[in-house]
Amino acid sequence: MSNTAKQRFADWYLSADLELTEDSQNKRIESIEELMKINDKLFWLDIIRIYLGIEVNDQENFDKFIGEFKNKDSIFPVSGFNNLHKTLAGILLCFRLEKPQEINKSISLAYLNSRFFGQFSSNLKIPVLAYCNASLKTWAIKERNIDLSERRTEIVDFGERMEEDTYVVDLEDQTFVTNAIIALVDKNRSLLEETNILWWLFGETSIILSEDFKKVGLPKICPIVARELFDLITFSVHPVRARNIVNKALILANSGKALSKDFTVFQTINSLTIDERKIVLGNYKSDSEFLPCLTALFKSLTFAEGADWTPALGGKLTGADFKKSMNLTSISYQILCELLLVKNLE
Amino acid sequence: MESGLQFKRCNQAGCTIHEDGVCLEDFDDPTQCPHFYLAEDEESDSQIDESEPKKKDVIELFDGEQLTLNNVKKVTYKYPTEVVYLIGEHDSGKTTILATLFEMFQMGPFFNYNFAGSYTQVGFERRCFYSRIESDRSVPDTERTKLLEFNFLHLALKTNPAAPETIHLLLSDISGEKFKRARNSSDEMRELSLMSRAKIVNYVIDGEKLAKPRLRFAAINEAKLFIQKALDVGVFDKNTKLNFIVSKWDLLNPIIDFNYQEHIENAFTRDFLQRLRALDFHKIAVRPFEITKEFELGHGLIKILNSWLVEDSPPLEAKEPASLVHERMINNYTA
Amino acid sequence: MKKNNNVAIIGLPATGKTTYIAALWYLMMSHSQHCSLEIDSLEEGNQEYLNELSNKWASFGDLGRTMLADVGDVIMNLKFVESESTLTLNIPDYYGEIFDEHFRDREWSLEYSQLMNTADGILLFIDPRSTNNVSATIMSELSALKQFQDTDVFDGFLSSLQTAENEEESHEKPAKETDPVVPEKVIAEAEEAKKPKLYQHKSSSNQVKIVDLLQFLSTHVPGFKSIKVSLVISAWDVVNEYYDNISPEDFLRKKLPLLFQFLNCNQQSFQVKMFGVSAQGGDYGADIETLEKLSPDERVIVYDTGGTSKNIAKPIIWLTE
Repeated sequence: MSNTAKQRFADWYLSADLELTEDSQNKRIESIEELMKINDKLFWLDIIRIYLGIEVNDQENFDKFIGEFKNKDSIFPVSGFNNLHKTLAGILLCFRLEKPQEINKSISLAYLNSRFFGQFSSNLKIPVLAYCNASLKTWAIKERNIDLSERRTEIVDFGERMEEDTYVVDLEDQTFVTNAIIALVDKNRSLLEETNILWWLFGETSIILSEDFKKVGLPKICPIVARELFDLITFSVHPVRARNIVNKALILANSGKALSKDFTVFQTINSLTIDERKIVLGNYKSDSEFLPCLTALFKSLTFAEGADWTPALGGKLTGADFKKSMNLTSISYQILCELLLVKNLE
Repeated sequence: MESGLQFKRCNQAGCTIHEDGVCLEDFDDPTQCPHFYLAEDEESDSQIDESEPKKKDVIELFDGEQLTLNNVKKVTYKYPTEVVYLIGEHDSGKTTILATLFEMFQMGPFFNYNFAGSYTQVGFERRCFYSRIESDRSVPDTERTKLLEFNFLHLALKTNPAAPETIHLLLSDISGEKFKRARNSSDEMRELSLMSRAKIVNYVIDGEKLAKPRLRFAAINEAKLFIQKALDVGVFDKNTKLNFIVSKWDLLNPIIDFNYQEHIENAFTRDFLQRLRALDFHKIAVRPFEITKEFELGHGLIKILNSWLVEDSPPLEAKEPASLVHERMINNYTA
Repeated sequence: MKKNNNVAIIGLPATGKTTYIAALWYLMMSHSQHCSLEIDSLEEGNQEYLNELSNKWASFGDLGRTMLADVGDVIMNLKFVESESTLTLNIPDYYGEIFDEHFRDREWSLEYSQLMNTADGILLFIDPRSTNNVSATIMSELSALKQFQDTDVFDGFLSSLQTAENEEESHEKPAKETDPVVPEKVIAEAEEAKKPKLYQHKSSSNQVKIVDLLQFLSTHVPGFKSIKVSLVISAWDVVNEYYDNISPEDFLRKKLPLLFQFLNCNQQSFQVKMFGVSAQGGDYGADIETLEKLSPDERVIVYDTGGTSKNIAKPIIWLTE
């Protein structure tokens, strides 16, 4: 995106208010910059909810959001103006995602996860989706791409300085050494992750079930692959090509043939025993629009194996069609992303 | 005689037309005077006493009139809207397009669009009313589209009545007066910069003028000048979708000595297509002079409406900056 | 289990509300076996007039306007025959003129606003015979056009009702033509003067007005989510005679297409059930002999997708379900 969010503000905002002036634009942007200082993940989840037009979890977050705009602009309308609020929520998300910060990982994963069943639509021309994808990609690379060649130069440099008689250890050097070691550890982590994933694929064997992928078969392998890959990932977001890795594992389970049949999330979950579902689920136990598949797994535990648990999924997941045929890779990738979101929210 | 229709009023201080019928500007026919207007007499008391205080014990309802730039936010704050502009000379047919559109919905779903509501029914009704009267040369000032302001009509449509997805259209016809000024002055053209964010802009040219040899080339030239100026000032640009609409096509079609293809489609495409996102041509005859099999009421209207409602392809986004070089083979992994 | 419901009756002038209320009052007072509501008390309104009105209905009288001059706002407290539940029936304006005023003046009185805020359901009346259901100017222009002769809006229904009007007009015409003394210019000016030069709200069609009436509810009732609407097409006997077994939904779709589309697209806001009701039971001219043979509680016809019934309270009851 060659234009900054600030430059694009007018383009996005005008769909809600044709009468945008320079003055009101400045006021809105000031409010946005204030709101960006908030570091509470639950607040940002509620901002996503406002953008999607669904009820917030905590009314205080909504009040904080609206209140900040009203602060800078006393005539800002407070209630019943969905399009205006949605638009501003979307713009706020774009501004937030543009500036790299840890919290962006949770935001991006949450937003992407909510789109799985397509029951929420935000038909605004605000490119939240593009910003989320870009943000995740940036983090995925940033966490794993540790350039040690620079460190090498620094270490050699440090070594030379230490050899001097007049050398005295100072704080700057201590920090530098600590950082260099952390970088080494991280690099090791990323190499370990990569190696493990490759061996896992090469071995074509499920760790959880101690069985060949082929023997596990479809659709059962789908959530298993998601969980196992999640366990192998050593960072907080998945590698850039995670979807392809998932796809490869599923193809291996399909005896090397491309996946031609679609399955429903319902079938996929029901292909697991209750115990297997618990393993995939880990310790997640709740109900969220941002975690539809994990919520379904969780709710299904109180039913007998093979029973229809979909009626238990009303409320936040109304409109999500668990019996819609979908591509198995998509389902598996979705479960992976949901597990990562849980990790990030902890 | 029905009450209230001939209640004379004048804006000018000192004019006594409401008392003795004599116009201060000395017009025999007072309707020719720019300050004259006729008032609805349903509440004659309140007409006389203009300083009557606003009643406090009532709830005010939305007035249903066309929306101004100031109050269109009542709709845009609530619903995602698509804004469509119609521009052209006075009497080119812009108002007739809007009026006929509303009339078609009053008779049933139009094509596969269903009427889901409008906050400006009264605004539509006024336009319908005036476009049905045959001689409307003496339209009073209060009824002309407020000359220099933007105005918007709201129309909510659904293709599937049972589904929640609703399209909210804001239709804005820019007055002939504003059009003329903008054509002649860059500053005035800049006033129309709101159009640069429209979903689509419709330039309407009067087919009846094109049918007359003495008037046609001036009309074509006016159109070119306007579009040129709009591009120069930046009101139109590479993101603009422009519909070039020839109205009253039933009157132009039989004219043999006018080469429409050459003078309109080829000429305008040559001059402008490069600088716009899209340039499409439409021939319409929404209220044909004579209804025939070839020219039915609302002829060409469906095609225009479809062009307003078609899903936009995603906006041209700038390409992502070159991705960071990664040494990790796994990130080059493709299935 | 006691539950009180609030129901309001609304509709433009001359849409059949009066006849309906007259019949309802009579049948409740006489504890008709078909009527599932009975009177608890009359909270507001002139009981004497209501009684006179209902007697006139029972004797096939013309319920002219002079009768109702002092009836004022009517609020009835009713109870269900078969349960403990109660119902408050509000009739904010007998003549329907306030709805025309709402459309024109674009304001609600505080009382009306309060009524709408607390209503659980509304009964909306429509007169199928009105020539203003669809815009009169569209109709007069287009009725001549071949293009629209076969469409639903212009089928022969309304012209079959206009025989009386046509007879009147044909009396006027010859007088003008045979009067050579009046110069043509004067005639032309007189014609021109008759044509309204200004749009007036009252010239809008009924369907446009009703759409705005409903939009007022969804826009100005605080916290509006949804409301139930019993749409009553009155004079159903006349409709039924012209069309064979038409449903109220189909009639609305043909004859008030704008309103039909609006309701169809806004089912989340307005849950609608349509009823065809004949409170008279038939034409007081042509069918009088048959009608006289029936007892009052046998006269009423209420038609909906479930079939025909004699329970005049049916459209009201549905609002409470």
